[in-house]
Parts: sequence; C-alpha cells; structure tokens
Amino acid sequence: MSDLPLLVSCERDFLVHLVAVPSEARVCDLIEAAASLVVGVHLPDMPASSIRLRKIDRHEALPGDANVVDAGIEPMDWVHLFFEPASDGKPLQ
Amino acid sequence: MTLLQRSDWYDVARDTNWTPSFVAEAELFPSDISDPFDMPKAAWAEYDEPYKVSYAEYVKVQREKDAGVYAVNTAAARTRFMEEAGQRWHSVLKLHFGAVCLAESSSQISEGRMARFGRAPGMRNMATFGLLDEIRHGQAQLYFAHESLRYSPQFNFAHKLLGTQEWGAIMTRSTLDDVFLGRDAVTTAIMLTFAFETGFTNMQFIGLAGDAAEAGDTSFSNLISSIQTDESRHAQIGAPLLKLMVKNGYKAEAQKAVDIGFWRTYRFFTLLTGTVIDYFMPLEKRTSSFKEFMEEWIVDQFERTLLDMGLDLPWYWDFFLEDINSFHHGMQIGWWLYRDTVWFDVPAGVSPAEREWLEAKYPGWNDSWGRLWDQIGENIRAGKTDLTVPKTLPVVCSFNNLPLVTTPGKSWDPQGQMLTYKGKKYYFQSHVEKWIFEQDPERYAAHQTLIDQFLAGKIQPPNYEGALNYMGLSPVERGKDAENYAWAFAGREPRKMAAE
Ligand SMILES: [Fe+2]
Ligand SMILES: [Fe+2]
Repeated sequence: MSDLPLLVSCERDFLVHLVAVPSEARVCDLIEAAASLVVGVHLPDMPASSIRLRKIDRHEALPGDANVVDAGIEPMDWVHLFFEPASDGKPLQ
Repeated sequence: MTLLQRSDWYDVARDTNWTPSFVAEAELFPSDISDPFDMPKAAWAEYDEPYKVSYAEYVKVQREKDAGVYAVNTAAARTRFMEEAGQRWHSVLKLHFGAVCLAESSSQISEGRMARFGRAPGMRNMATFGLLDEIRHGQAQLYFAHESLRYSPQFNFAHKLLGTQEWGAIMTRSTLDDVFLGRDAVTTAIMLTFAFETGFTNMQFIGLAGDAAEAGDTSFSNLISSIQTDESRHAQIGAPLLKLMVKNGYKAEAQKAVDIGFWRTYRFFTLLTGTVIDYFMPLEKRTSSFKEFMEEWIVDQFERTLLDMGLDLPWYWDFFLEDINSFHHGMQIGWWLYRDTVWFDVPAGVSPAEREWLEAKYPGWNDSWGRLWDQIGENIRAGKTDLTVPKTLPVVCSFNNLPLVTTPGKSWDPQGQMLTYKGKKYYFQSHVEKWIFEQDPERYAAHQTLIDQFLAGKIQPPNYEGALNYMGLSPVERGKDAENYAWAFAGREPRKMAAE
C-alpha cells in the first residue's frame, strides 16, 4: 500500500490542502478525508451526501465508489470538492 | 586651504574605466556576472548617476544619521512604550525584523556585485555606498530587535529566521536569491534597485514609519525613516542604467527584467505589508488601506517612472491591479490559521468594527473572506478552537513559495496554474508566476518548496507537529492568536454567547 499525495481545494474555501490517501481508498473516502479539513472548519456544515469530487480541470464528478487510482487520480493531481445540488443557486467554483 | 567644489573634480576622479593591460576586458568583467547583454562601451559611457557624493561627505552624513537613530532610541527607552504598546504592535515589529534584518544585510552581496562588476564607474561608486548602507541597516535593525528580546523570545527570529526551514524563510531566501543575490550586475541593478527598492521599499519603510509614528513608536519610526534615506539614494542605481538600455536598443531585455523583478517583489511585500496595514495595525491608528497605499506608491509613482523611462507597464498590469484587492486577504487568513508556523502572534484583525472597515475598503469582503471568518468565529465561540488548528500543510506555489489562495467563490485557473516540466508537476499562484518559470525553467525547476521537502521525506514524523519542529519553531516561539480570541466575542452579549 502506498500513499497518494494530492492537492485538494474546495468550493468556497480559499486554499489548497495537501492530503494523502492510501491508493486502495475509494473516491468517497477521499471526499470524506478532504471534507473534514474544510466543512465545519472554514465552511458551514453540509450533509456529506452533497459533496462531490472532480479533477480541477474537468467538470464531471468522479464516481464515489470507484477506487481513486481507477478513477484516474495520480500522485500530486489537483482535485476539487463541490456541492450538489448547489445549496444557494449555482456552484460557486 | 580652499577645497575644490565636488562638482569641479568628481567627474574626472570617478572616471576609473582604465584599459586593462594584464588581462583581457572580458576577464575583468565576465559577462555572466557583469553585463550579460555585452552592451558596447559607448552605451555604458552614458551612465550618469543622479546622486553624486564623495566618500568624505558620505561618512559625515551617515555618522550623523546613526547618532540620531541611537539617540532617539536611548530617549525612547526611558518611556514605557513597549510595555504599553500592545501585542499587535509587537507582532508588527517581530514580523518586520524577521523578514528584513538579514535580508538587508544580505543585499551587501548585491551591492558588492554592482560595485565590482558594474561597467560604469558611477554605478560602482553608488553601489559601494549602497554596500556600506546595507551593513548599517542590518546592524541597526538587529540591535533594535535584540533590545526587544526582553519582551519576547520571538524577537530572536530577527536573527534566526533566515537560517531555518520555516516556510516564510524559504520564501524569503528564494525571493532574494532570484531577485538580487543570484544575478549579474545589470540584472541586479534592475531587479533590486529599480523593482524592489524604487518600487516597494518606499512603501514598506515610509508607510510603516508613518504607522509607527501613529502608534507612538518614535524610535522605530525614526530608525526606518533613517534607513529609507539611504534606500532612496542607492535605489537610484537602476534608473540611469534602464535609460541607457532603452536608448541603445536593449528595451526588451530591460523590460523583461523589470517584469520579473516587480512581480516577485510584489508577492514578497504583499505578504509583509498588506497584512500589517489592513489587519495588524490597530483600527484607530490606520491611515490608509493597503490598496490605497499601493495605488499611491506603486500605481501612481512607479507607473509614471516606468513610462518616463520609455519602458512599458508590465504585461500583467491589469491582473496586478485586480490582485491587490484579494491576495493579501488570503495571506492574512493563512497567517492566522497557520499561526503555529510563524514567529509572532497573529492578530486576526476581524472584530466587527474591523470587518466594517474592510468591507468599506474592499467591497464584497464580508461575502467572501468574511464567510470563512464567520465559521472560524463560530467554532471559537462553540469552544472548538481545535478546529482552527490545521491538520495538514497548505500547498504552496512552486515558484513563490506562498500558499496557493483564491478569493472564496472565485474559480481557480487550472490552465494558468499548472505545468508539467520534465515529468514533475508544478503549481503556481497565477499565470504570472507560471510565465516567469517558463522564461528560465532550469533556473527554477530544482527548487524545493516546503511541500517538496515534505514529499521527499525530510520532515519526520511526516505530520503537522513534525513540520513545526522542522521549521525550527519551539513551542515558546510559535505564534498564537494575538488577542486570545477576544475578537470572536467582541460585540456579543455574554448570554447570547452561552446560548450558541
Ligand atoms: Fe537596506
Ligand atoms: Fe537597499
């Protein structure tokens, strides 16, 4: 098992966190780990079910139950958390 | 005996461009370290320094300046200013001394390079005095910082910081190396004396001297005003050089050096000055906002100077004018959240009254940056201060070493912020940093940011506490909230607090 270092940003947050997940992790595990750094910390609490993850330069959300590597995430990729449906209109970032 | 007027002998006496007979000209002034553009001698002959001074005059004036600085300091020591100044002002001083003392001292190397390898005698003269100036700046500021050690061990970072792997130290060293320690004499004159000193030192020293006077710190105000009088003299080394470059067909080279030097310097001072002016300074002592200072000192004055010289505004100017509204707010919340990683206590600067001021100066602040502070304040009031302490490191810009930030609600710009070079991924604060990197990737590619060092396994144990120790911060040196979270409770009824 090796750790996958990643850059993680989040809608409405201001910075990029360095997060490492095991390569066995699923996308939803990554979401959970990353969201714990932001949701309720820099942003108000949001239901976990509303949080999605995409690559920073793509639009589509990655499937939650896929393995992170199978989902195409490589070491030092930049991934982005966003909320769906957007709580107040369109997603902000 | 009557002495000649300086103007009667200076031009003849300074003309030391002799013809070497033991070595070739190119060995005396290797282009790599002297003039990489190999400008013709005739072009260099046009260099005319605007500020002419003899050694005897220099020594006399400097002696008087130093006597004044130390006399005011001795008088001020009899007051209880420091005891009564409050934590915010102490933090301003600790930040300033840490970032500036040894940085100024190191610029002796840059002045020395121009003094030895400048191709014009006038340039060499001015740089010789510049070198002596920087000895004075390093010594005087270290002396003042040392005197303050009795108030807090954090003042020790005036001397300690640049020898550590603290992230601000990595950023500072990398900036200084690029802008003025690792450059030839010509580029140094442009990037250090023109971009850094003419562009920004003014703002840090005159702006801060004004704030210091407002805050009642006459000694510090007097010290940095005195330093600034030297800066504004030796900062004039670059302008005559730029003029002759434009005139002799080297405008593109000059422009590029200005564009690179200005941007790097801008990031450095935004972190240093932007946060202090808009957040650290007690509200009632603030004169202008950082943006207003920038508009006065940089946009008006620097812009005019550039255009007068026949140069253009840097290509990213519109982006720059936008950026002064936002970047430093990100640095401030970064300072505060990662307060453990700095050598001074960080004032949040976001009490209700201060937020009102911020909203007035930066319309939309409450709805973007303010929302982050809302949540942080709520966590503090709920007794969950542990949530305000980070669990991971922020990713920093591969080029400027500062945390990547965006205004909350504003999109990132992946196209402009990412690059793969020789198989390694690089991330940038903006397309401007990326552009600079692309101008000379080999110069920058091997640099190790704190994140690179972490990923290389240098930080053990590989966690936040491990990183704090790696950065050289012992528990007593690490920053805390400067006001023990009082700002989060300001203006709230105690009962309402309990109910939350
Ligand atoms: Fe200086
Ligand atoms: Fe200087």
